[in-house]
Amino acid sequence: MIVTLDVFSGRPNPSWTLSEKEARTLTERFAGRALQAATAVEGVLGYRGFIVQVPGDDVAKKAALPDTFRFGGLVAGEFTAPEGLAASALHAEEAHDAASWLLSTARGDVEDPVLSYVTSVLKEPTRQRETQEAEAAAPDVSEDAQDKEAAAEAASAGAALAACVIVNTPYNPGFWNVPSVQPYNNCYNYAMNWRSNTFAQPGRISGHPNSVMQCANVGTAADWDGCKTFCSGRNKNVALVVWPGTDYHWYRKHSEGFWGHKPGGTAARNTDNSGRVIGGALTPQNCNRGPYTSFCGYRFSPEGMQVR
Amino acid sequence: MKVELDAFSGRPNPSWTLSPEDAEELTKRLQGLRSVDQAPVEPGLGYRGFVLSSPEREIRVYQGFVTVKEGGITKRYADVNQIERWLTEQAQQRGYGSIVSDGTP
Repeated sequence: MIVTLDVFSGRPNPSWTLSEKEARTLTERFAGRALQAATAVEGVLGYRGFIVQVPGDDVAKKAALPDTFRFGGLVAGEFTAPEGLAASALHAEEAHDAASWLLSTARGDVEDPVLSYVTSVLKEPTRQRETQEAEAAAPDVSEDAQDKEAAAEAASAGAALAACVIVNTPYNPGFWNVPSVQPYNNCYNYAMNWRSNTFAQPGRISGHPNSVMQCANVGTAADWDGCKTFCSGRNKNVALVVWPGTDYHWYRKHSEGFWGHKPGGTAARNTDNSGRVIGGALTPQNCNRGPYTSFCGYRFSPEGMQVR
Repeated sequence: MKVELDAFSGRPNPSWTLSPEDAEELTKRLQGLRSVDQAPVEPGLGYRGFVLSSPEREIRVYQGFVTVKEGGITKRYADVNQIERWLTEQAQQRGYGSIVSDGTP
């Protein structure tokens, strides 16, 4: 097994091979747990976690591990847990222990200053992100905001996340593609599966509207609404892309396994700009997205999440 | 009459109102159009043409086609009077040039 510490921006990341004993320990820790895909993480400088590559698919199968997965850091990609299966994500403490142990296997492959930096980040993993959000927040007395702050506090106090359950629903374009709905609901309505008839905008329902069309800004606004980069509880898989400086677009995964989307006031569909169904090897990350050239990442939209 | 530059997915499309002179110009350009049977390709993400709407009808102009929806009936024509090009100039004047030429075929 090859471990890569995802930390650098300019230089190649350090990576090393685990000994057989270390590989067995890793398998014990991670087998059968909900793990993140190894997709690149955007918008985070510094420690973004570890990427583990398992050499053979027979090893991976026996060990109930995906052949590549991401671990650690707060930003999650698409979970590989099967539909509806309550494969539990690692709890904050387990995650911290595992990350610290993994770092210890690096030996001479990671320079001392980098080791110290990652060690210090691991000591306060959840603060890294929640603090940034708290600093950006204006005082807000709505119940929603209090709930969100409570969740953030709970997370940073090391409380366990609720088990991740992916609950994608079947593709149902007929719901959206009627004259009373289609013009009034956009990609965000579709991805979050909430027909507000307001041409919903990320951040509007939570009181944090955004006008900057870049991944980080749209993502933060969506965070406020409840659409997170990590999976806690029952969630749908979604993905965010951006037409830099101009617009954003969202996709939602369906239980059939492909992705659907609704470009603005046009009809909901499950095909990309080349007319291909966005499924199998074709994903929101590699499909034809026209001018929406920035792939911001995969996210999780809680079941029943509302937008406006 | 409202003109909408149909291009966005998340944000509302840019739009403006035709001046009385431009409204007249549009009426002229809508004369003598040749009927066609084909329909334009269903566009997806990015530039999708222009939509002109009034209470009575909706006119879509895209890729050489003019589609008119009026009283529940849809009719298609060839854009022989360059309505799309004329509206593109208006869009450019308003600073939307990069949206129209987003490079999407």
